[in-house]
Amino acid sequence: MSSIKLKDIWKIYGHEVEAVRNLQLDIKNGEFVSLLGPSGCGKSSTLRMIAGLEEITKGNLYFDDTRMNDIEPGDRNLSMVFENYALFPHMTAYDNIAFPLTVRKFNRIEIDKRVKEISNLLDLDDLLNVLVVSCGGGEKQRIGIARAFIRKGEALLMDEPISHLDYELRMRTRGELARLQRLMEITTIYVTHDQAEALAMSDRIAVLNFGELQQFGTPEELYDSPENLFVAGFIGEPPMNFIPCTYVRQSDGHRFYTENMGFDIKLNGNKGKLIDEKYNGRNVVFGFRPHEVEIVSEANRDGNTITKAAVFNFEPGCEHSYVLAKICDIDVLFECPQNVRVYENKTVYIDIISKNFHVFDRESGKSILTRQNSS
Amino acid sequence: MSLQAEKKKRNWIIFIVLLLGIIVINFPIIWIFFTSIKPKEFIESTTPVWLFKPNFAHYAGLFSHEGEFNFFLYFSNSLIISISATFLAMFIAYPAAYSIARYRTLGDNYSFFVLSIRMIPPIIFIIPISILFALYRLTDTRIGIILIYLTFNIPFACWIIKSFIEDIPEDLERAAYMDGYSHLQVMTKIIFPLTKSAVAAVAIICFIFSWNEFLFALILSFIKSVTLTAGAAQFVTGYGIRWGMISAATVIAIIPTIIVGLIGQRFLVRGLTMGAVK
Repeated sequence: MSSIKLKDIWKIYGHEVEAVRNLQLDIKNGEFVSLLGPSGCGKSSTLRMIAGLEEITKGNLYFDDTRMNDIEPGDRNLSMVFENYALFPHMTAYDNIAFPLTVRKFNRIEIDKRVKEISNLLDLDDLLNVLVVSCGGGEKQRIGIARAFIRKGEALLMDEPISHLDYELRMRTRGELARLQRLMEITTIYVTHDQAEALAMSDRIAVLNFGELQQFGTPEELYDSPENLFVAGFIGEPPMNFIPCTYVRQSDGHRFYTENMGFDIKLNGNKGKLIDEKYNGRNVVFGFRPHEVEIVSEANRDGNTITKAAVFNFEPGCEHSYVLAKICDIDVLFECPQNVRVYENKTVYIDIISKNFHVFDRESGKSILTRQNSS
Repeated sequence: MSLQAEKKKRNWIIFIVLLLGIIVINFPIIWIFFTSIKPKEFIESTTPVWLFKPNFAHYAGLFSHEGEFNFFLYFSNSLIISISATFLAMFIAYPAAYSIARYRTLGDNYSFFVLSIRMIPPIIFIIPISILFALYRLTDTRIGIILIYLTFNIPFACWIIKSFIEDIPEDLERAAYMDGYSHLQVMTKIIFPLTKSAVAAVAIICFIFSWNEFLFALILSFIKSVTLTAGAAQFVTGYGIRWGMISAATVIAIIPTIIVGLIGQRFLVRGLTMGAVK
């Protein structure tokens, strides 16, 4: 087991397609790190470069302090779980699970013992002598996971291992994976496009977009203080609402307003968030999460943090309902408690709970909020 | 009428239609078989003779070295040439197909270029190849004929196998590389077992092609490397065509392909539909 360090890693296909750009990652020993991003963001390329299945165009890859760029995949001592299972169809489940050991010429008794152990852990005992082609999707992936966990290598790589499974199975396998990872205390890199999955399983998440690292941090950090618009929009379900507006600094806090005054709120600045002086009077993007608003009655419409929204769709739900509305012609979505009924084509007043707002520079998309206690 | 009886009746109709189809398709073969066992005077009669006393004189003639016809030499030539041309083709085409499928060897259009060799009518090659063969003393040698058949079998085999290999997810190979397999091991131990039935199907087709090939065998061999098909042409003589002998030779020549076809039937069906049903 070892730590994994990516230093200035580039992946360029052909001469122009830059799949991964100048990536820096420092993954600690035993850590569960997710690479999260939309398709084509470079997460799978990154994983394959770590695995040695793809060449690193530029930069260095270290396991602990050993440079691994030129080491063959078989000599890197890693295990991998693949998206489409990658089980050998001409072998039984047993032979598939035992494959990493058979190749390394372990003796038969040892192999048998370990296969029995891991298949017991993953509830595969009854399937061992079955050809994998006749197994179902969930079973196949459990076999794939067993194959990866049978041998404790330097690290475990997983490339969207559960994205092909149906919802229920995905939830179960997710738990199983996290449990096994903790049990084996193995450094794990997990590629996914599903933010909920990443948030649920990871110690830290690296968010990628267009081949560039957007932010690398714990799930809480990504959720509570996203560094840019992309991370803010990608993490959280449903995604954060953004309202382009102008920022003005006031003695007692922050004011955000749009040209036509359809949106104009004043937030108290003393609640732990600071905005750099230089953004005073500049165009910014104001962001708030769908659950960080409250619908207020018309009588209270004049509060500083209250704004008007024109409802155009209402989705009733079991725990809470979703309201789709327009604030100054910008679509926003927010939650309301299940017992509140909002009507379409009506105007509602919403209170933006002021402690959890986000502000981004409109040009660069970078977050311009600094936390008072951190700097 | 009960449902079952109706079903039974329908099955009978299907059976009769199929039987008629089989008779029509196989009519030439049936005709050849009858010709081979007809007495000579019936063969050339202007009205077909359906009832006659079967007679195996033509077969006997084949084996008795009548005229120039050396059945055992021709048969063994056909067998050696076809088997070698098939096995060598598979041996060369498989790694080539793997390399084209996985490493895009020589560019994206190379495999099409390889196949395009098969699109040119073979007779166009005859003159340059005769000259080449004369130059390298390959005329009338088995090796020469094998080489010629390889130039037809390899592109075909390569093209078909390539598309089967492309159907196998690459992650399968990646999984094997992760555990330390070499490229050669991945090809032989992971990919080959998965394309076995395709390989068998392609091999059968190559064998049948080599066995049936007539043009090159006729032109490039005189005595030593004459195959059964080219040998049968000897019965087209200056005095007339000896239909009975040709038919007998043809019937015997068909037997090995039928055997190969029967053995390989399940591979043919599975191999050639593998991509379709997945």
